[in-house]
Amino acid sequence: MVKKGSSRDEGKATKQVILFLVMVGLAGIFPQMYPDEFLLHVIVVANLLAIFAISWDFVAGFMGQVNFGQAMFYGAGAYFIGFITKAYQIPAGLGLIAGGFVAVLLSLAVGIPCLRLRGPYYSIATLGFCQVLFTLSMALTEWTGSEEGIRGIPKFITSVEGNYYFSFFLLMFLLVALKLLFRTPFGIQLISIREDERLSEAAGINTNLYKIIGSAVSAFIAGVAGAYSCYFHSHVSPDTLSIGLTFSAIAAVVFGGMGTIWGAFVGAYVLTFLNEYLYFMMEYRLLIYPLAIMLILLFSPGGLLAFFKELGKVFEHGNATSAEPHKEL
Amino acid sequence: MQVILSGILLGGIYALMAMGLSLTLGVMRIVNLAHGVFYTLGSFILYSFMVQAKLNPFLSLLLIFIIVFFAGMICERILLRPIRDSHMNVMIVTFALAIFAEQCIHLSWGVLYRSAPPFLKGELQIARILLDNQRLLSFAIGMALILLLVFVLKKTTLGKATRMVQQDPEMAMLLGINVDLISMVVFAVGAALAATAGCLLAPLYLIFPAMGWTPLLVSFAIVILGGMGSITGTVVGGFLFGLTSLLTTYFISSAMINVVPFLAIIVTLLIRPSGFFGKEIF
Amino acid sequence: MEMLRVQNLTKSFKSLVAVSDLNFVIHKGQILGLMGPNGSGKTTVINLITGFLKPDSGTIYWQNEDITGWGPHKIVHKGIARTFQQARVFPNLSIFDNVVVSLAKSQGGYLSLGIDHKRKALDILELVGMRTKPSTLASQLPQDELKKLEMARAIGSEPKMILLDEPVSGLTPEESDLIVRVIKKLNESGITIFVIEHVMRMLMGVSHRLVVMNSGMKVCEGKPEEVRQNPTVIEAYFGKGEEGFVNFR
Repeated sequence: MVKKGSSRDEGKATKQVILFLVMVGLAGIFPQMYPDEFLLHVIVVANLLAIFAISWDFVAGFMGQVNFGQAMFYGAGAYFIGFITKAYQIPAGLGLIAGGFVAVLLSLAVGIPCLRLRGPYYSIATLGFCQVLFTLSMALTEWTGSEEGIRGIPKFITSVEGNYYFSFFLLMFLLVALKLLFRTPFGIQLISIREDERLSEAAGINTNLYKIIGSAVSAFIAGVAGAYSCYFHSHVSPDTLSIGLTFSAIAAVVFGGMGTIWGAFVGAYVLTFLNEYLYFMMEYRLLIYPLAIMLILLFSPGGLLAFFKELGKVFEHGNATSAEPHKEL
Repeated sequence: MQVILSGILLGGIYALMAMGLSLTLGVMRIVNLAHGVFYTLGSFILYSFMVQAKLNPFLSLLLIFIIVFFAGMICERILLRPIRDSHMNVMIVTFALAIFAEQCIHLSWGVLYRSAPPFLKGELQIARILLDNQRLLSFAIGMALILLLVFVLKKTTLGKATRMVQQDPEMAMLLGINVDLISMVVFAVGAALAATAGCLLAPLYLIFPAMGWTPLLVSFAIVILGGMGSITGTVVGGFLFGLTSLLTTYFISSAMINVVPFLAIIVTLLIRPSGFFGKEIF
Repeated sequence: MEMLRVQNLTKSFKSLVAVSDLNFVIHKGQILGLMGPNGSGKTTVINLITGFLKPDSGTIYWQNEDITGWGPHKIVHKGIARTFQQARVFPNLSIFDNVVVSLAKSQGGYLSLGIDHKRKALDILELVGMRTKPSTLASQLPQDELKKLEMARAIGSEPKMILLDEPVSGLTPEESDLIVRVIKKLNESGITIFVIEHVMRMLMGVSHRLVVMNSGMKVCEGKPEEVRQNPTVIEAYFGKGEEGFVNFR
């Protein structure tokens, strides 16, 4: 009788759950211990970036679709809130979800035509789409306020502490949802597309459909993040559609480790904190993100997480290689 | 009519830059997202040379070509060679490089929009059309370089070796061609060509740190439209682009000038993912 | 009852004619074997039937429906599954996940409500005789277990017909007997089988009928005993210096 789990695997899963709960607990009491408004603000920014970065990792790391225009979904959500709140009063929850759906619509409009594009062509096309939207947001001054953007958007949570909790809530929700997703057959099948697309097709997976769905999910996440950022900063500008923004997500993910959800989280935090706290470096701070990426890709392409994993292996086994012998042919 | 001619003149220079990209794309089989930043670099260094150092424009052009050529070689050697196998990593690294360099330029020169002084002042008048001499000169230099490039590719040993690497890298390696060296040179040439295009257009348009993204996408659009490895395709594509860009500026607005190339890439990729003239490489 | 009909199938690659004017029929519940020396076009035939390649000319009928040129996943949905010559699995996924991937067709909706995928995957692994723990990464499997995983993946999509591309190549006689047993079990449960193999002993032993190819063309067809005696077949093998009737390993 073939059994699925072993006690070792179950142990690993329990460890992860415990770690997660500890994290949630710490996050919960943190503001009481360090009620530093600036720090809390930075954490919200980091959380936002983490959510956005995860949305990119979802398509790029898990599905192999390297989208260089991910910012367009973030910006779509952000600008949607910007436009809507000028005209109507809507409850924030609805706004966030609606922002997500606007992004989903955009992902369909962009994604369906791009289905037939392989690898780099897909990347360039998505970069192109995003730049079109960026240019439009700069050019259509009447609607978008050009560089200045739209200001004075009413916040739905006014305190920094409130935003801290809310952003953590969003992030935790996302993490849990994704972890669960990748245990379902659908999630495993999504990953298989990245692993070997032809083989997935041979196994009966309609890769086009899955890619569209995956894209839509990723866009939804990015859209909600963008919408929330609009509420949080009370302001939306073309920056939300910029190449720089896409790059920060890519940087966070690559730095932390692609194709692992924690990588995006870790990367986002490290980069955001480096950015905010290296004030003494003044403008030179902006060089950090790209420099970090280049270094990571040269020395540890799997990102920080992979680097620590390797370190962990060295400590565990000393110089010995893996214990289990393979059965040779 | 003036707009049309200006468009063609602009197009020639776009074609030059696109050829640089076509080389890296075709020979090294990588997507270089830093191509635009080399263009920007060319413009800014030219500005410095001409305005601050008061150097002769032609001398500046030559110097910049050499400087960027070596910069390109260094970049290739350090950043690209270790990771050349992974397309995705190359895209990310060159993307990072582009942003890094753009920030450096921002820090060194500031964000003010500037313009470089023209090499040649005055205008030429034919019938009712007025064209600046600068435009004509830039175009002439651009075309000359393209012809030079074509000559090198077709007639010299280096050029032949490069073409062999483009057609079949494994075969080329078996024949004893130093593929690594060729890759380094090709990348450097591509970068230098982009920088030269930047120099040639600097006197005509505004210079600012983020200026490289549009030319990057335009180059891609041209290469994709015109097809990989097809020189005619690239040149024709270049002209088409210059034309449509300026027509857009004229009829719609200059702010929308970017929208055209992007839409063009998108439309082309959708109709013919491998371009109209050339063959697919990925 | 006719399941698969291949008519005038032709495919060339540049100047090489891989498959030329091929005709054959497979009936329900049959095990049809395809044999021929290396390079005779056998794998191309599977690629053409399963949508990995488009034929230059000719038609492929599945249960009287024209499926020529259809894409791979549509063909799987119609009930045809295949394995690969070099066992092709997802090396970074566990054995269990590898099978789960193939359950896409049978899970109906995409969120797998309504089927117990765990149970299904484990049952399939048991059916093929997988000894390794399901949570092991596929990259760590030895050759015979890999072949089993290949078959498990094909079975996952609940096919009416399975195309096996050299299911026992590289295996010891004992290991290949195991695979043959699985094939026979599948066939007994009603699945039609199309097998390509090099190993004569195995193919002769398992097939109801055989088709022999050489240089892209069918040279002979019939029951194993008939084909074995056929002079053209013998020449095709020994003429090209093949091992022919000798077993590897």
